[in-house]
Amino acid sequence: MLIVDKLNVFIGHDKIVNQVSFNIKSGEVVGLIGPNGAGKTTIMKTILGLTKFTGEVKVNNKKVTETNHHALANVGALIEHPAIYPFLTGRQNLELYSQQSSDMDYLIAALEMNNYIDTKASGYSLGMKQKLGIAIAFLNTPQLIILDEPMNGLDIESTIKVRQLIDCYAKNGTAFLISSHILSELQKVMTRAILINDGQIIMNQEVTKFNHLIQQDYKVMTENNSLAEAVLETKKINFARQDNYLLVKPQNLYQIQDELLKQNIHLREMSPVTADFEQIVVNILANQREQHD
Amino acid sequence: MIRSLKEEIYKFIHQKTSLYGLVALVLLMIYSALTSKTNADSLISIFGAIEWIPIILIAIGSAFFAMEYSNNTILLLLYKNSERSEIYIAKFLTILLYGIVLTATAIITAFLLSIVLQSRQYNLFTVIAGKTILIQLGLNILGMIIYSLFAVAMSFMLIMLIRVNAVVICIGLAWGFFGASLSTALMKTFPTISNILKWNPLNMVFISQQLSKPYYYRVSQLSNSQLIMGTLFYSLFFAILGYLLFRQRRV
Repeated sequence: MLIVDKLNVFIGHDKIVNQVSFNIKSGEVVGLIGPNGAGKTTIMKTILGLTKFTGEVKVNNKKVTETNHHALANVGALIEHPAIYPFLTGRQNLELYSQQSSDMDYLIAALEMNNYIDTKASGYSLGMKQKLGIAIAFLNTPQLIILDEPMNGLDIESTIKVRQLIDCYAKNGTAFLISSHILSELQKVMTRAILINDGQIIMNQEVTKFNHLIQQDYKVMTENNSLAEAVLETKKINFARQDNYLLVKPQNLYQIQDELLKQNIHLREMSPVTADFEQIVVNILANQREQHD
Repeated sequence: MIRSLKEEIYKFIHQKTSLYGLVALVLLMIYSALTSKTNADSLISIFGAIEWIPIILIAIGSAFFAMEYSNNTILLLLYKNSERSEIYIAKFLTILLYGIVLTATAIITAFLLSIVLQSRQYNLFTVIAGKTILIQLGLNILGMIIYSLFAVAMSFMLIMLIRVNAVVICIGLAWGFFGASLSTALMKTFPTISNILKWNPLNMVFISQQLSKPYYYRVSQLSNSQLIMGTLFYSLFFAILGYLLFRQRRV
């Protein structure tokens, strides 16, 4: 559906995007993740033919250039802020781009915009504008939808509605490229994550594979934690304290069990500390910085 | 192209500024009718509409383009359209059509004002200064339409160049009110090169008056046909320059 090959973007003399390549297949939901200024929005704008670039962008095997947007006929997008005319009502904003009124009505209902869709958009709250911007991106059932920070300003219920909409469209074959700072939300919808820093891709993986990228600690509770601590110190096994638990590394788990049992200290609880996606990303970026230093 | 034009007209009609421009024109014409001498010249000059319409077009034209950037809708507009020229031309034609609507409104208002406020019904075939009122009115309307084209092209170029709507409006006002006198002063100051200076863009303001009053030739130093050609040339030049700036502008 989308092919990005050796993409480079310069702003002045600064290379904002550096040799970025990735593909997105129909029905895939790909998260574009990275710190502020990493180049996420620039990549999205480039795919939409809004900036000068070198390399290749293809949508449905048709080339996109800064001056040729024919390939983007079936693409929806929400970039930076919702693109809304404040002097029009929500419905009029949708009508401006809608090819089918049934599609428009479905989106109004799915995002629960019925109550205010016929009032002027100038009076909308941030969340209402965001939902309208999302609806515009989803209009006419695009083959590719690009969403930059779609959950901005949305309440929990609206966030769930948007997530359901993404799921529904993805099941019907729409490909998604989504960037968000709310990684926990992104984690719930995306099938693949592209991690970007300083304009370069540092990781492009299925979401399920990310969990193996960090060592998960185990938390251990014993009958007598202070005695257990003494044993681990004697045996020079690293550990940390957290509330009533001892945090230990997984590679030391069997040795710890053996040593504690030898001292007749029984385990009450032992479970992995699940790292959330946010933590994984923070760890990867921190590791990258350490390698650079 | 037709779709883009329809979209632009749809947006323009729903903007209140289009209505404000129309109301402002009518009010200014009424003000002119109430405060100036009542004679056939008022009708021929369409109660000052000749000067006001280009200024209104500059203000509204620049605002119409600037709002796409302030609302972030320019992104949607750019990626949804395969050609940037399509957006530019559609906007240009929309404002030009608005200019025609303003002109039509001005003509109707002028006749109504001459009947209601001046209690006069002029015979359009009455000869004044060697030409019938109808011909003089027609020439003024032609001049106004050509000048409107010039004003729209200039407003689009200025908003791409300066990017601040308020500044563009101020330049438009200054151009409309002081353009002709500035140009005349310039030619008087440098009489040896007045043959070149007479082609400066400020001098094109005379198009709004000179077609019906040929004696303005002594001030503008351009014949009617030269003035029409010059104004059309600058309209094209500003329009192309504006488009090139629009194409280069980062979003």
